[in-house]
Amino acid sequence: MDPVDHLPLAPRDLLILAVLAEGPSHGYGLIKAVEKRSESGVLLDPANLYRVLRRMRGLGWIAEAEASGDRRRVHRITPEGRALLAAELGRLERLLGQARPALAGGRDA
Amino acid sequence: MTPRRSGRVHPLERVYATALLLLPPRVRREDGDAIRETLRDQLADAPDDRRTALALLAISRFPGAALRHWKDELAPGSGASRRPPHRTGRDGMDGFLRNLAYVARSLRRAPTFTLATIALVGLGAGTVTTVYTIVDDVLLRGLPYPESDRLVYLTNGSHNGPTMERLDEVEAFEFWTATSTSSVNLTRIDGEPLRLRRTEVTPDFFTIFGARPALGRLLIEADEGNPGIAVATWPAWQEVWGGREDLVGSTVRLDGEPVEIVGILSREFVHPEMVLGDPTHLFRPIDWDEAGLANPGYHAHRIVARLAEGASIATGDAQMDRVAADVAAAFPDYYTEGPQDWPLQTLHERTVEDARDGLLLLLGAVALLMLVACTNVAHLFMARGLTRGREMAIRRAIGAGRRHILAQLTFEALAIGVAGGAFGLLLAGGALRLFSAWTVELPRGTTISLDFGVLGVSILLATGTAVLFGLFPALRTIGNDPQERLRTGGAGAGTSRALNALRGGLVVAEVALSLVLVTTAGLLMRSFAAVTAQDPGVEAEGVYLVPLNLAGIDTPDTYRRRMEALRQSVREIPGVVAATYGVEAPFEFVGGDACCMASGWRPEGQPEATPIRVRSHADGPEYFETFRTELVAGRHWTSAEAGATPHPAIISERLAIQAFGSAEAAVGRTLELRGGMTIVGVAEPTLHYGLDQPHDFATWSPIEMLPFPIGRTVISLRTGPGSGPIGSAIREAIWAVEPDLPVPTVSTLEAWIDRSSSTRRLGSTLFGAFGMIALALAAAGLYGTLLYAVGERRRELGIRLALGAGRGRIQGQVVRRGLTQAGLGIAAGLGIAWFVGRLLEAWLFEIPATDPLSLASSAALLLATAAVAAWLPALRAGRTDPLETLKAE
Repeated sequence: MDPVDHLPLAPRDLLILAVLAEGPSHGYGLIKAVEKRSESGVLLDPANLYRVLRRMRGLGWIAEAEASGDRRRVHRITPEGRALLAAELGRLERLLGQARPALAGGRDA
Repeated sequence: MTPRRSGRVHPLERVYATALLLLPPRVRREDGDAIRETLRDQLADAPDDRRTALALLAISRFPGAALRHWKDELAPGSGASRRPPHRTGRDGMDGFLRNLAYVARSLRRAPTFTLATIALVGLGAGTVTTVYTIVDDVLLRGLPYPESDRLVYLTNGSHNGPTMERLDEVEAFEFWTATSTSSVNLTRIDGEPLRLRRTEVTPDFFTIFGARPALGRLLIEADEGNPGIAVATWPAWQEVWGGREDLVGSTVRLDGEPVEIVGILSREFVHPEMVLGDPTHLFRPIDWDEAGLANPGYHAHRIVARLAEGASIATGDAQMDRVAADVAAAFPDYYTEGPQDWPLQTLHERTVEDARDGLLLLLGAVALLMLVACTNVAHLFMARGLTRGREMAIRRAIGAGRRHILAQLTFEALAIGVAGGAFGLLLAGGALRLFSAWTVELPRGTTISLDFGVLGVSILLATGTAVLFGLFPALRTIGNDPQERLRTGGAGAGTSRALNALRGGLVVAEVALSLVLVTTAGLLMRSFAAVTAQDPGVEAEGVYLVPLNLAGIDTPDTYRRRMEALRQSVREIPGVVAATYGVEAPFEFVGGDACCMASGWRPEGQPEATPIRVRSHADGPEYFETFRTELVAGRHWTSAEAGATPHPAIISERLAIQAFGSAEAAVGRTLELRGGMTIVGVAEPTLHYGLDQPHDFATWSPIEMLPFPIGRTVISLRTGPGSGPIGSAIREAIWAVEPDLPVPTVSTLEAWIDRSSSTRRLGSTLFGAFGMIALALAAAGLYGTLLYAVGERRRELGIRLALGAGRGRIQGQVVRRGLTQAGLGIAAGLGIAWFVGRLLEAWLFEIPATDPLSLASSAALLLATAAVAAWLPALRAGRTDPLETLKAE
């Protein structure tokens, strides 16, 4: 499936992919990293987080991996997930590029 | 919530883990552990004060998440890569969501029903959970100490030095410790002097109770006999010294003496309340001087031991018997009755024995209440099921399968159960929090946390009831031909006798259970009334009591001299008409032989008589004027006689009758033991340890007979009529003589007497409340049943009215039906109440368990309530308009 079909991504999905793009992480690590990045307060609780992770696994964006020296399961991003993330970031950048001039030249907020 | 130690499971994590059961099985299997672990990580990483909020947030979001998981699981396509192709789940998904939406809609349309059932389930589950949690925690769980099942307590109060010296011979004891707690005054540079509790212990105390130091060290063998050091408890460190870092190693002044604090106990140390009483602030090494060790009359230490592995209580008892025999042989003059008996009791049993009966009673009461609540839930669901016959028929007619309808009804009941459970959880959480803040009454109350197992069971019970009784009417209607059902209008002919009989049976059960609770409440209230009506033999109004702790008393004379100066000082306060002092005062110690008993008294000239155990009381001047205890024979001792040997004494009337046959016969005689006492007067019966305690054998003597120095004391004073509050005047009068003496409380005797029956007041209030709730629920059940029956028979009633039947006759019929059901319930309830009453016997005071007045008045109350509950539907039946009902058909 073409990643473009899944765009735009929900902010939460985007943040999770972005965190995993930096390296595999277990559940709480993800929650912490996502909370740190999202100033608007995307709060994740464990049950909802795993629902999102299951969905992403099903879509092939992420996969489970064996953590080294730790019993706990971690998730890592797949090449498909990376492609999707890149596509979404590209889309957002293009969108920003198109929208920004309006503020720069327009009225003050 | 209480602060958590790291590594311990937060109680809400358990709730969360339980909730995970609601996830689709595959999700639970694959990700359940990871989800729980994530929460645990999250909680472990959060600051202490944020954990509960964080866990609650996760819990509050869980239902939504669970639903979405189910949706993912059941929806075709998305995220379903691993699902076997033949299980498309389309039906399941559609059925589930459709049912869910339908349930939400139908419950929203009946808000009264929904709220009422949720409230009932919540109340029932919440109260049962609260009480069971308390009972479980106090009665069933082990004490929080290492090898707690091997800890034993040496019964019969405090023990003396000669006994303790021989305890090392008891091989059944792996460790033993002797403790003695007293008050000390802490001198503070900034602020008033402070009264602290300090416990003397042998070093094995810390081993037995698993204490660890947070800072510094604990006491060791080598510290024995060194009164100059102490270990502070964690709460004392925080509250008294503000958590000061440099406390360990510093010196504080206790009763004017320098004492070095060498360590602080860790926060986890649980104060063994049964052994030490109120929380202690400091522990110091035991300090036995030779004289103290050798004196068999000096009973000061409570003894706890850990049995050696494999040793039984029986072995311990046998070895203790040998110790008792040795001690008795060494001090034949003291142990005139031969060796004493000090049976061992497990510390656990000892700790909970006083609270056990009351708690079990309470548990029984809430279980009854839960049953009444379940019965009402059953009522409501049945009533709803019956009125929905037409709705169900329509749904059947337009193609809903029988399975779907049943599923929908089940879902409704489950939804109510879950919501009610959540409400119950909130209630129980709140109640337990209140309870923990208010734990003075119960042993071990400070360590309680919610029991989710019981919460689950009670929710299941309520939900099961709802499902059963919600489905029952539906099953009956579903069996019918929908066409037939539609034709008859959903009511009327279709409702069977069996259903009415079932509803009637529920009402009968409800009335019976309510009667039991109301009767119990009545018995407890009458007992309470009887207790408060007791004549304590003292006149409480206007009497103030000031417990004090004098430092630096080394002889009985110092005690008397300083106390007399204090007495004189408060005596001069305007409005004070009498003042006295003693080592203790009436109603200071509540419940049995808490203090001051002496064994082995024999009346004069009767060496063969059974020795009598008496409460012996040494008092300062004006005791009888202050408490207004009247003499029934003889006179008061004069001040000239006070110092004489043998001492003059006033004895209680019961003792006089027991020993000499009558009050008059006792005057002028002597009671023999250790010097003896001459009886100069006999006092009216008095109560000393509580209004519900028996009149005891008592002696009062001048304070001059006090044989040993002691620091504890109570100043008692009587004010004349019309004097206002004099608390601050009392403090000033005391400080005028002893400027550094802490005066922690000034109480009234009325308050102390009141306190002595506070447990009874609590019991009768609780049962009164339960009884009222049960009564209201039973009335609601009866009312609802009759109202429904009237509505159901509108057509019949209309026809009868049209044919000329009198309204009064129809109303009478309805009321009769209600009263018949109530009557049956009352008859059954009386039987149960009679049986329950026998279990109550230990709790009742001068009221027989089968008290006819209580039984009759509860029955009358139930009957009157039933009459009112039946009358309202009857009025409605009488108001039936024949034309309108017939037209409506």
